[in-house]
Amino acid sequence: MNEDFLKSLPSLDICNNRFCFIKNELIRNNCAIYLQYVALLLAMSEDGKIGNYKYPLYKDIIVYAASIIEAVLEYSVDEYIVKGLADVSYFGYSTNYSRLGKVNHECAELADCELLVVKLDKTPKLRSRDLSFDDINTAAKKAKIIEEAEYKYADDLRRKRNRIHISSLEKNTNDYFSKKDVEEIFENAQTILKKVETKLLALQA
Amino acid sequence: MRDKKSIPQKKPSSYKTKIQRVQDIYGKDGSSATLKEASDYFSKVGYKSFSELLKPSV
Repeated sequence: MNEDFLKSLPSLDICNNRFCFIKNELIRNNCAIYLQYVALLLAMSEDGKIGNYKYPLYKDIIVYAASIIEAVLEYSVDEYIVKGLADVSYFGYSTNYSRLGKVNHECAELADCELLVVKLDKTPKLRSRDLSFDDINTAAKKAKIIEEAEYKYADDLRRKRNRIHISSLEKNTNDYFSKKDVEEIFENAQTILKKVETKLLALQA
Repeated sequence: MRDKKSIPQKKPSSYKTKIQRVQDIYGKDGSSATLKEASDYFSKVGYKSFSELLKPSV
């Protein structure tokens, strides 16, 4: 990296301004920090000297891009809930089972089984740490913040982000993502961001 | 050995700390590009979509 390289990166203020439609300062600032970091990773991946290091960089870019989209979608659903346009149930439920008892039996077919009586409690997923990217995508679609096309883009991003466990990889990790894939991800991310931004600005008007 | 009188007591107005020199070149967070400069750079290196993504819609 040289001086010209760094001079091409957007400042944090510019990245912050990109998310001006997010009124929560902490979420907006963190999205901006991630966006600025993505810019750094992208620029590094274009440095001819790094060779094959660019492939793990593509993976990191995808992980951070996914985090941004996930945060923006969750924020948008929360805003809709506050305005009464969506319900907390859109995020889905956590299920908890409590064992109440055991049934004694002499059924031959179930000889190896225990028959239990359980109580099932369903509670809405309210806190961010209970929510998955899938829950958030589904909620944003239910709330009609995003439509089928944007939902598929977000889901595709979620799947790409999840390709992280070495034992689950079916080919060389450097063969999963190319520059073209990364460019496509940003096209799709921009589509999602524009849709969410339009919806939130209409809400705020 | 230098005596105390030969040591400058007041820094000249052009004196800058190392941090200030770095900030002059790179900006406070290491980045100094305007939106147009950053956008043009990423478009030039083949990331037109990221270049567009940097720009606020309104």
